[in-house]
Amino acid sequence: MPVHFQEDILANILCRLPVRSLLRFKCVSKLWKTLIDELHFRMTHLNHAKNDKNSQNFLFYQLRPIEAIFSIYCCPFSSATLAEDVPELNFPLIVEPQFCQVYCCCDGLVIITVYDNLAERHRLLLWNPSTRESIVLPTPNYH
Amino acid sequence: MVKLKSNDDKEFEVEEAAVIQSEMIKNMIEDGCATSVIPLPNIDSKTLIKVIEYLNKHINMGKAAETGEEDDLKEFDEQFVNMGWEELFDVIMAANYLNIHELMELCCQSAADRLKNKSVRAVREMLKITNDLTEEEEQEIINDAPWAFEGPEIDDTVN
Repeated sequence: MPVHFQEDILANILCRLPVRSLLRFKCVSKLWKTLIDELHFRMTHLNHAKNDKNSQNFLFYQLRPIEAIFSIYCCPFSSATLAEDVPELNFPLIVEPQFCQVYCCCDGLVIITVYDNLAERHRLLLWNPSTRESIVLPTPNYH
Repeated sequence: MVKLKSNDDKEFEVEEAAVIQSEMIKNMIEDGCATSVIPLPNIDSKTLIKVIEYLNKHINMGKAAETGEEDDLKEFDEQFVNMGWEELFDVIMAANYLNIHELMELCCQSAADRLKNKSVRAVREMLKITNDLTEEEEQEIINDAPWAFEGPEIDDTVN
């Protein structure tokens, strides 16, 4: 069987997996790593997730004003998950979150502001909660 | 009726309404290439029997919704994918070759469900994959997302 044919089938199986599994399975072999890293595969995965209600998640955050603690959670859309079982997400950036605001979400990406204690300023981030990757965006100047 | 022949030379007769769920065979019939036996050099008889079982059950899928047979079909599908890895892969290969979309969806989803919580070691063993990454490459992948490698749900068993 030619290799590309098998890769096709492999991609069809892997595009149904959660991101967490995929990040782990990059360790299976070179072929798996290459496939999972491919832009085309990522798009297939995204399109599959969009049409699959089991892959959809709520993102919500909670403020406990007395302790000044922000927590951010990700909860599956489909199943009745108990509140205490909903995993808390790590904040992007290593900061003690005292402020956070989600601006918008699109295709699983989020634009969020967090307060960076160390730099004592707000940071605008483009964040992918599924992979936990984020990049700092340039802060817009308001006049 | 349409005649199919497996690679171990066994012939099977299947109703046209069932067999045209295969895009490949449907095209052959439309092109007038299915007058005699259709040889399937990639599929053995054991796998072909499974595929035909699926096709026969799924004739007139659209009607199932009207007659309330949806639950019955769902139950059949659940039972159908209850098979060993190797058998599942043979059916996936056959479904891919014959281009049977629904069967491909069902079997690939079942494969994904089985892999989802597995450890890297378990996946390699289940699929007989030789690790060709160096230790450094492997460590780098783990360092990028250590949280994906830890957790109570990760299952190291092979099955």
